[in-house]
Amino acid sequence: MREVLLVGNPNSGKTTLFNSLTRSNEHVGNWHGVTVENKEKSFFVDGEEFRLVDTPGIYSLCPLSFEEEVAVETIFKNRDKKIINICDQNNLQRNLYLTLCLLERGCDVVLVINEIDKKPIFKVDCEKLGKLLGVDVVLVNAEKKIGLDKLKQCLKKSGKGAKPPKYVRELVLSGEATSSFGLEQYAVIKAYERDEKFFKGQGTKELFAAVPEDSVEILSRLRYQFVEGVLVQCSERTHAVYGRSVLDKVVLNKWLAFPVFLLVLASVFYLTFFSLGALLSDALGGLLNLITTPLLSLAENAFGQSFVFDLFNVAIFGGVGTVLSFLPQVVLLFFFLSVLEDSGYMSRIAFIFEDILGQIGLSGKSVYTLLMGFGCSTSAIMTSRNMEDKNAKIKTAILCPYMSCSAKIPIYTVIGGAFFGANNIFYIIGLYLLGVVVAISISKILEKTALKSKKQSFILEFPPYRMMSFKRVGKVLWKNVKEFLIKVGSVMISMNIIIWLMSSFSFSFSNVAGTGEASMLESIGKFLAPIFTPLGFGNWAIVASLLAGLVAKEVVVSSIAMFNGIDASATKLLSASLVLPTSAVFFASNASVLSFLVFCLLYTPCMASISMLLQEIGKKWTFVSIIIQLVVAYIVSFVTYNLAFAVEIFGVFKVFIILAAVVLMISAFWLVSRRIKTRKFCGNCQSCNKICKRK
Amino acid sequence: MKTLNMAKKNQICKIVGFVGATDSVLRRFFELGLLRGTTVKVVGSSLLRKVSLLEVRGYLLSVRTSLLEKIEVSA
Repeated sequence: MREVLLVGNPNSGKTTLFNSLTRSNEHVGNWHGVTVENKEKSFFVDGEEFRLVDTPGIYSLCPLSFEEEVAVETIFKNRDKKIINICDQNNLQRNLYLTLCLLERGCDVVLVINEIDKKPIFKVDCEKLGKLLGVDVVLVNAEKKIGLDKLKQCLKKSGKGAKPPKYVRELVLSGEATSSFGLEQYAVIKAYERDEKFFKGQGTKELFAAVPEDSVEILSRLRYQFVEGVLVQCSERTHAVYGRSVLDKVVLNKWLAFPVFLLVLASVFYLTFFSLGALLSDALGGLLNLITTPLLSLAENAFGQSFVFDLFNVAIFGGVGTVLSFLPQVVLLFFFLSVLEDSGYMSRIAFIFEDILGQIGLSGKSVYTLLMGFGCSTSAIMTSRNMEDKNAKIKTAILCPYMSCSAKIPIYTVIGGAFFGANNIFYIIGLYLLGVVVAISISKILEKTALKSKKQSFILEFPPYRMMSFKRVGKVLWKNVKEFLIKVGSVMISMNIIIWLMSSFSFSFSNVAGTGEASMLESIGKFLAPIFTPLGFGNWAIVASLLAGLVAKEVVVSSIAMFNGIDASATKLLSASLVLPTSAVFFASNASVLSFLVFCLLYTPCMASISMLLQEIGKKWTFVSIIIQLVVAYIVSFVTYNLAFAVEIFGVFKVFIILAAVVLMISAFWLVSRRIKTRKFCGNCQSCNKICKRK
Repeated sequence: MKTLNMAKKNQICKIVGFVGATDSVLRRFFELGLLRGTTVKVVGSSLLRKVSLLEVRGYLLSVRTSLLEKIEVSA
């Protein structure tokens, strides 16, 4: 088996080529930093196995962020391995800069020019380019799988390391560093790059003093001059600017940027939760009913009204079926997020939000991570690796779970829908916004206290706008449907069976049906329920469903369906049962429902997210993060419940007046105290009547 | 000396120098082609002017405006 590394600039099409060569369906997007860890998979060429390693995007062999370190480390550890260096044909000049870095190191490179657009900015004579660089050059279209056969044949060749470009020798001969330190050719390059990591800090001061002060710029200039010289000989260039579009006149307009963003987000939510999403969800619910009804009667015939029938009826068909009907909405949300990713709009969003996020110690790049959090917190946490600063990375990862993930859709729709009816869309949007506001507040507090981040170097390219291909639409939909079904089929069914068993048996392992004895879950729920009474939902079954939700948030709804004895995938029946005082899960007022929804939004995310947090930010910060989540969820739910309760009793207007008065009083107090603190001591106390710090 | 953060929208500038030549941020600028003699066009900025959009070597680059203080330009 031969190992091949896939290396290139961010957003040059590495993962697209990886997917095409290995027939995978890894996450791709039209923005900087989609891949944050190495991915490996094998493919065969004429019976010979090749192990392809997809690395995160880099600009050179001097990393700046965590994900770049992963890629550079992989390249340095695998010097003798073949490298596929993929370049975007539209931005060839800058992409070839990395090629030179690899050639300087003597890597065995196959240069792949990715022809993404029909009318590229650079038209290249690949053969000539290959001769000038001394490597094999292949023109491919990674998405359409054009040119892959030629690439595979190039991989089969047993290539030697390429010759370093001419300027390297000149640099080595002219430099003082070589003679006085006896460095190898490549070490001289690294000395010019002032790469402390390469020399592991040993004697770097003396070494770096021996090279010119502006050595980094000298080397970069030599590389760019070389690339320009090569491209003049083998390519034609149009005058188009990579990434420029007339759309940006609106999307990036100072005054229109935020309204456009909000419009896009509102459209995504509207299509996901209502109109299209609701229509598809109802249709799937009906279809599931058609399927489960005969299956249930079969089970009834086989087992009668027994313990086993109950297991099928309540735990599997009732609980899981309820969540399954939300498949269209979950998939739609992921689909729209993918459309945003592929469109090139994500980089524009980062640009727009840098203003705000910079104020709270984050970077515009955090927007990627946070927006991904609307889909799945687990995968979003991982993308926090594209941060350059450790504290900013920890903060971004901690904030991810506050972005309401797709697993919470069934909770909002079923429970909110039962009480708020047609107005539920406003409550759902409100919950999403609340998550964002809480995340911003926590970030601000962490920035001021434990996690002050260094100023981030926000440097980001703008990719061009692109339409998602039909093939990719199919792949995205299929991937998300598959993942959802696997989750439902594995985690949810097993969790539902456990919950059903715990709600059917007591701690003495006797069946509690009809005995009046408390089940295991009821005992635990009743023990914890008083803690939640101030939040308006001190009901054992609700508390038990929250506990079950620690495994996966979808389980909250499926367990509620079980507790209320909903025996098929009937979300409307489930919603109706929540207002009945005879149901196990029953909400007494709109205030308690709202408080419950807020708690679900903010409390500890699923197990998968917690394990991802552990992997990315370590034990200490994961523990801190869980504590923050629980405390914040409790406080915000408490405030929500009391405010909503006050509104129910006194009406909106009176509560608004009281709140406004309180806010005014706090602001006035804050302003006065700030003035006293900041006023300097004038030293003229006898004649001065003003209040100052001294007095 | 004028630095790039002072340039106005649609202004075309030529890079003439850098402040703090061993900085890791400057290294990234060099990698992206912002070198002495390179022509840069300021395409726009964000609402609070915290980020600027530049056209360099035929592509668009958004950079935190405060970082542009490190780049000296002549109009």
